[in-house]
Amino acid sequence: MPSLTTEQVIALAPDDASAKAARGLARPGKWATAGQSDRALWGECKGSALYQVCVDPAEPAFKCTCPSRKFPCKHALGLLLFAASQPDAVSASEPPAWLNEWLLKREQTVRRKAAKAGADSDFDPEQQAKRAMAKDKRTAERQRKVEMGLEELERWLRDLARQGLAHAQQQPARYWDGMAERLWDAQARGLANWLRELASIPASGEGWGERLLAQLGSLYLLLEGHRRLDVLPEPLRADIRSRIGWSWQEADLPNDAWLRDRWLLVGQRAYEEEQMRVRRSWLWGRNHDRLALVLDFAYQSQPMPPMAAPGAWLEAELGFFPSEYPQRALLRHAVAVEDQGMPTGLADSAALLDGYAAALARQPWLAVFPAAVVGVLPVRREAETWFLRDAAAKRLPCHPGFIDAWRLLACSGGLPLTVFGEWNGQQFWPLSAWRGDWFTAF
Amino acid sequence: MAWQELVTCALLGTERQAPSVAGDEGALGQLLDRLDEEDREGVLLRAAGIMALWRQAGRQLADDPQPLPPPCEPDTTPDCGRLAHRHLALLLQGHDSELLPEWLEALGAAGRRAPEECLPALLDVGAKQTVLRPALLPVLGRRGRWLARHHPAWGYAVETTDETVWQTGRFEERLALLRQLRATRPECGRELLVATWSEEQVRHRREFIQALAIGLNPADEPFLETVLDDRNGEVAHAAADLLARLPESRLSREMTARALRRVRLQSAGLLKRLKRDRLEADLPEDEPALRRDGIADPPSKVKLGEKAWRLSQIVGAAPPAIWSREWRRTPAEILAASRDCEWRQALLDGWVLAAQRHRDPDWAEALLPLHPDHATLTAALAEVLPPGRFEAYLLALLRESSGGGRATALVVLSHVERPWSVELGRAVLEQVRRRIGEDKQPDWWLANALRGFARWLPPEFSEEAAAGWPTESEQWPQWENAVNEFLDRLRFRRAMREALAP
Repeated sequence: MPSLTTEQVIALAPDDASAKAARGLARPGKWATAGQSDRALWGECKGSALYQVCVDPAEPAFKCTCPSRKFPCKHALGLLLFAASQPDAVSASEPPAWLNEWLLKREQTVRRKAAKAGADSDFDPEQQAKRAMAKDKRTAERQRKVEMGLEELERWLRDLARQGLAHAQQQPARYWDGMAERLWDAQARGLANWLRELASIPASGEGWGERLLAQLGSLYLLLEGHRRLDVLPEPLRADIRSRIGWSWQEADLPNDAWLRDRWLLVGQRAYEEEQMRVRRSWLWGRNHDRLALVLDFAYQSQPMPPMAAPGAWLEAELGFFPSEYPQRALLRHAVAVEDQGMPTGLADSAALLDGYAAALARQPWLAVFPAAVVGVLPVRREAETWFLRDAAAKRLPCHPGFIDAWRLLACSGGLPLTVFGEWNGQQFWPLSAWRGDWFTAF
Repeated sequence: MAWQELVTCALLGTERQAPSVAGDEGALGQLLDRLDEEDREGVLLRAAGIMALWRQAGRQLADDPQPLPPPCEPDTTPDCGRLAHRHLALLLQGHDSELLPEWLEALGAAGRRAPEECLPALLDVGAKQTVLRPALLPVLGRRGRWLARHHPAWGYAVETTDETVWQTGRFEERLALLRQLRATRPECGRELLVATWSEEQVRHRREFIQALAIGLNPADEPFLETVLDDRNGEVAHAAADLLARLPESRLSREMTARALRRVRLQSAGLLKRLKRDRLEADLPEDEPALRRDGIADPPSKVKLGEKAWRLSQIVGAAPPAIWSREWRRTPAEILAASRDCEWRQALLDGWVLAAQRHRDPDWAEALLPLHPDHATLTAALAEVLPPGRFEAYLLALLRESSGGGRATALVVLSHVERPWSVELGRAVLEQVRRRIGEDKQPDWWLANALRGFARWLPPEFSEEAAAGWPTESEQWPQWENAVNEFLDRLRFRRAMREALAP
């Protein structure tokens, strides 16, 4: 059974309070019983009552009889931490009946889901037609709202251009927020978020005008593209719609969007955005040599869907959103597996820039370009500014949000290593690093 | 350049200036030429989009002009292993950070080093908590020492025998060098300091002098004597403190003479009306010679009066053994004789200071029972006792038939940070179990102290410690959590130790 490290367990916690509480539970005195088999961990935790906790660390999946609305709850995390730090105390033993019940139930659910997916195609045609019609109606309604929102945005942009950026700089926050809110209401949420990002540029110091103009231009091109949507090729059409805020559900994706492979979770990053917690997970498929971005969202303290930790391998299907440069994907039928291998890195930062330019040529609104670059070294230059320096002595600026530069330096020991991360056109955000069979994630 | 012109136009607004996009050659120029010039806003925004993308795709990176520092030499010391790495991660995340020193010591004893990934966090902890450094430095490995060179706050961990650092290094690096030299070749360290002393900044001088406490020896006296005349009071005081620790120094001898002049013993029976020994003392006035020897003005938090404080400092500078020699009394007898003395508190403060400075176990043991609930005092005095003596003293207290001695032992132990023998552990737990069994109201402080005890018991004792608790006692439910926490902590320490066992 794959065992998780303490960092991996902490990464699963929905918030700091849960992580802290879980650490308090990683002790024998808190557990009436605890054990593990090749499939799962279980234990009875002494809380206000005796809670039965089941964990399948592979997926990972959790179940606890406690009333907590957090997921996974502190008991499940505590059990994992306990097993990570004192494996002898959570020894292999005969699983109790309630664990077997849980495992059985999960198996049945998986089978039912699979059966349902299979049955969908030969569903009652009349029902299906009705459903499709209702869906089309909803889509048309949304389309109308979005178009109205875009028209307003275009007028707003042209006003801005006419009055000048210097004028816009003097406007209060609601100048930007107001437009963002109207776009949100028009269900163009991608654009609403984009507008909110723009709002911070006028106060971002030297070069703000240039940065703001570049963004406004890109935004305007998107509106132009949307106006001419009918004449554009399909994948680019999808890219424009994605950037505006349309997203894909599992059922919307065509069969050929799904790619089955063994995926390495090569990097992960979590952050908050508009009261929403976002987790970005980059997966690399070893047979198809493809990178995929899986996004998960949760409102405030609501549970984040469970996901393996960096360095883990999954056998799974990924459904890529249609795009000129497919990147975002949905994950399904994931099973933890043991495997080896690492994506081949680009030779240097010039190759990274070339790759980025080629990707931009296909998808001009690309937010980040993921890549591994070999032979780089973290270097600290003026004040706390970090760069990755490549073999050709070119330096790639690190994103100021990347806080583990010292750890990266410690791991490098002054010798080059391969770093995987996101390049946004300006800065690189390292997510993991490796050399030989040693791997670490940030 | 066309882009800069476009930015200027955008800042002003198209109502003030028409955007001009002509003049670019090649594919970009052709694309821009196709824009409809009548639509000013459209031209500006479209041109901005096109040119921004063009610039973004064509971005070049700057060269890194600086040479690379030399890489770290490969480390031949084995690292701590996976399980121990997890324990460390828990400790660094705040699971039970008090156990970090023990983990570090066990790692050092096992001849291993800390994992690379945790080095920045460990170096940060060491930068904040100087007491951790002796345990931390040996387990940083080559990688840790290499890493420390890159961060000013980690200078304390830079290992160097290169004495040119003294001329060229940063303050932290120079201090680290001085400390290292003092530990092995104290005279070399002193000579470096003497050579540059007149140029050292005032704010660094005190720390340099304090570093001389490492490897302090009589040969340091002439230099320290000159520092007594330093214009900065704190620097001079630090030197006086060191001189007071050298029993043969001029300052110590003079302090001894001063002390003997000020404190006298009236023996019982000498004068018929005196039933027991009595101490008498008179208070010293302020004088330049005393000031030069480090006794100037009392710190503001001192409770004693100014003159009484001066007396305490004089007594504190004299080796405490002189009193027994002079009066032929044991420390306990002298303490008893001080009971009626008007200046008793000053004398006690002085003796406590002296017992620590001169590491006098007889005096430390005699002073320990006076204020067992004074945490820092008790810890400082107990630290003076060698391990065997510390244990014997506590075991004797725990075996006393009166409850007072046993209670004192528990209070002392709750303040002292040093490992216990199995025998002491057994005696303490027997005492704790007895108190739970007595069905009295639980002592909250003891329930709290139990958690601390778990740090000092031998971890291999954890199984024995788990048995024999009076679970039938009526008060047991009040104790259960504290006892479980105590046992958990002990078990975690055991797991921690086992993961580092050879």
